[in-house]
Amino acid sequence: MTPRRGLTLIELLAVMPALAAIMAATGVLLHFVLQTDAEIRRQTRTVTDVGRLAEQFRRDVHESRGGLVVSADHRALELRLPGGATIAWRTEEQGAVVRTQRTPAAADREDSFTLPEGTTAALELPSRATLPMVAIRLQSPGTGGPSFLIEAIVSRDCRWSTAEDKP
Amino acid sequence: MRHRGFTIWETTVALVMLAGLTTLCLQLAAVAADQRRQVFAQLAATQEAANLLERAQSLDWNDLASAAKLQLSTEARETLPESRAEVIVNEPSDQPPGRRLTVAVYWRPQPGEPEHQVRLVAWRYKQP
Repeated sequence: MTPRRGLTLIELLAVMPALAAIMAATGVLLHFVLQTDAEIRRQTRTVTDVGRLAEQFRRDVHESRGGLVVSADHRALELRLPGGATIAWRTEEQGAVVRTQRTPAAADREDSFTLPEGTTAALELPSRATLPMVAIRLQSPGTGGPSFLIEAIVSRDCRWSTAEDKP
Repeated sequence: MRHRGFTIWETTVALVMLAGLTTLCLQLAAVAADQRRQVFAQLAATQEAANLLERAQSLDWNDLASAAKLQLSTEARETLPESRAEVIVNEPSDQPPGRRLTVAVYWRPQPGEPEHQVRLVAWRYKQP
């Protein structure tokens, strides 16, 4: 019998499915790692956007000098700022909240805050506060995302203003 | 001697490696899910603390002490497990008369784990 060289067909046939299984497992692992990475990016964006939204919303409401109007469908809000500027907040179907600042003799400025997928936003007037307040409610049913309120006191920054400055 | 098939050791080593990889994968999934919960809990707690601070600041100067009775909202209680709030009103300043409002929101992500907390501070001065 001559010495054996190379691999037999049976050995090759045994190795090939094993290799295929290892490659499939690697593929699944890689897919999972990429999915986790994308999820972490989404979370970071959510935290940044919601934080930015809360900060800007509270600042606008605190600075406002009255003129507070919330639409009947709870999707739009208007505020008056010192110097004749107005701020409009509106919630959009695609899970975004848009802020528009209109200043006399200047270009309008629009900012958009993207909400996590499936999250809806509604503007509310909370009743249990002693001073007038306005709030944005973010709701994400079933997706495990954030569901909470962002509340702000109307005209907080002008509580000590003189009578003519007050709303 | 002619080698046929795999030995029991080869099979065992391969199975152990496969089991190790699967465990790693599952642990990664669990860590990712836990991180997601923690990030949203932190976000919700921060916003709840800011809301409580707004409510505390909306109180009348003479009524500021009642801020200590402020409670968490229903949304926060649903989002944050085993949560509670603490509002402390200090009087560290006489001239001008000022009070320091500290709001802390505590929650426990899992039973038996240490409590997490978010703490916000604001100052309120008496109207001259």
